[in-house]
Amino acid sequence: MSGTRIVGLVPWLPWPLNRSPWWTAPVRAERLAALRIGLAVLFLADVLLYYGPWLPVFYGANSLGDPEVFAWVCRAPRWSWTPLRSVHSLAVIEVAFAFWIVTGVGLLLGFWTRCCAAVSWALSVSLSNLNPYVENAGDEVRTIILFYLMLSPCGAVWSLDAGQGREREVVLVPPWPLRLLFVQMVLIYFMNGLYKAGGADWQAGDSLYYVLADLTLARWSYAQLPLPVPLTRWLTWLILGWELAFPALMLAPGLAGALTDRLRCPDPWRRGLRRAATALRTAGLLFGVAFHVGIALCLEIGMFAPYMLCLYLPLLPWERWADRHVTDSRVGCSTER
Amino acid sequence: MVAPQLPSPDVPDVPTRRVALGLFVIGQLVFLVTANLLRWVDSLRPRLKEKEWVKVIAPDWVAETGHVYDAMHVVSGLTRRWSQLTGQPQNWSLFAPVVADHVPFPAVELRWTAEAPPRSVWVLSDNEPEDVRAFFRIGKFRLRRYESVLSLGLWRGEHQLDEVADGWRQRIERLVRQEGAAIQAYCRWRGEEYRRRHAERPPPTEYVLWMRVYHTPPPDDLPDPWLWRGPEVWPVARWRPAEKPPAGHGAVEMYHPVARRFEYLR
Repeated sequence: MSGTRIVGLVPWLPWPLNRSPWWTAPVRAERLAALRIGLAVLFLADVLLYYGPWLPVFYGANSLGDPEVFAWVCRAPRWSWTPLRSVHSLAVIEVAFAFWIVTGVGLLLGFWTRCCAAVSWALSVSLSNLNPYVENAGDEVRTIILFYLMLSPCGAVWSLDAGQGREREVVLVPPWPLRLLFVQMVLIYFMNGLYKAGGADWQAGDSLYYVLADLTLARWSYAQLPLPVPLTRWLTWLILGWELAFPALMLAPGLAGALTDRLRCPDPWRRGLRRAATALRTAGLLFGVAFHVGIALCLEIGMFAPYMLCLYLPLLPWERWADRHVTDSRVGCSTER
Repeated sequence: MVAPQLPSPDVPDVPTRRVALGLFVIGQLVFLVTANLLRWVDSLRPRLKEKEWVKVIAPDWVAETGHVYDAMHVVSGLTRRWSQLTGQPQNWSLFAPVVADHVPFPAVELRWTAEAPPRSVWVLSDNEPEDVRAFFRIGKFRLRRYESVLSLGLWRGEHQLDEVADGWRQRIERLVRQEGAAIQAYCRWRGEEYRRRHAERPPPTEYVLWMRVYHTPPPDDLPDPWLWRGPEVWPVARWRPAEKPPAGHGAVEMYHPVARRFEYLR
């Protein structure tokens, strides 16, 4: 690597955030790029598979999303908006969808990246408000990710915008978009846990049984593949416990570090405790991945699981892969010579 | 910890822009936490308002009065509007707090009053499996989302109709009042889909929205072999395109399960 460069505006942050390296130390741009590319792939699949074939059913005059049906969505005191609010013509909606696909390709390739993210976010919000009844939490996650991509230098690497010949540079970006998205992810799980904790079915351990047996959601008939009730009961409690513990699991390495520093623990203890806390955090994240893969296999709830998994992409050390790739290509060059 | 020495960013270091971005980051952080927690706290009120200790600690909040309640109301309003403006709704409660043991599918009955038979055709939901004992589902989740808004889990079970009818009336009335336009759009779409396959048929004169409701057996009392009960089939609403509703009434009639007839709603 020949140099280091920071791309994007570094925000001024007040205390205590400005004392925390987690909020201030720039991160490798590959992590943001991986989020962008992952989202673009899923977004294009979503648009082509789940929206495209249903356009005339969901949007335009005399459809399920007839402008008269959802006139209330953009009415005061709500601040919801869509420039397509009074559009009755399906052709106009189709043009908007074509634009949406183009912005998805732009995001994938990193061409006019932030502009594509901005238009894509605007269309995502617009279409959600045009017929909110066909959207689910997965679509909300998509719009939120697009919101942060639009505001961050997500095309700094692995993009056409980044240009050629800069592979040997280490590119860093300010960490705030990834940190806010991580806070959002923690809150998604924790709030789910809080709401579930108040539900009688979750306390009794019956929820997963009823969800898997829900005829409207299940991917296959529960009568074909009935899971033992004790298993679904334990899984129900495990999911509830994991969601409630998610913030603590994610904070574990930081807390362990602070605790061992304050108590002035001997080095072996310090290392051991930090390693255990990091393992706990990793286990929490791996459980999350397994949870979403399980949901996607058992329930037809569209793109919720894939979009949620997208939030895990910036947590992977993509820079190692990128650095190895650069080293390999250098080795390749010298061999040719 | 000392931060490593880093190069200057590509973007010129303009203090105003950095401060503005910092304020945005702080604002987002505050928004995320408050929007989620306030909504959750609000959801607790119906369950907590009868608790003595809550009446002692926060009597005004329970009664929806006072400074704390007002402040929370204002902050909730602000976070809701920001979430609407930026497309960041914070309603994270998947399958919570309760899950349903009654599983409804909407169905539309198309009726013709003065036509050659058939005078009535049922169009079932695309999401309702032909054989509930064996199916594999892929796609159509957006249609299912739409249908879920129009669905009511009306399950009589072992009860007499009179025992459940009044509760059902309230639920049906609420649904038709809130979603009358969506019910009308759904019925119309169902009729058009049918006529696409049967071009010789004229437009129906009546559309009746029914619920086909299955019941999941409780986990402590599993039948052998395991199977859902039902479906029970109940009418919910009717739309007659050619009929002009009385002045000030909606176009969609609700089914009144006590009187056992359809009625316009004012």
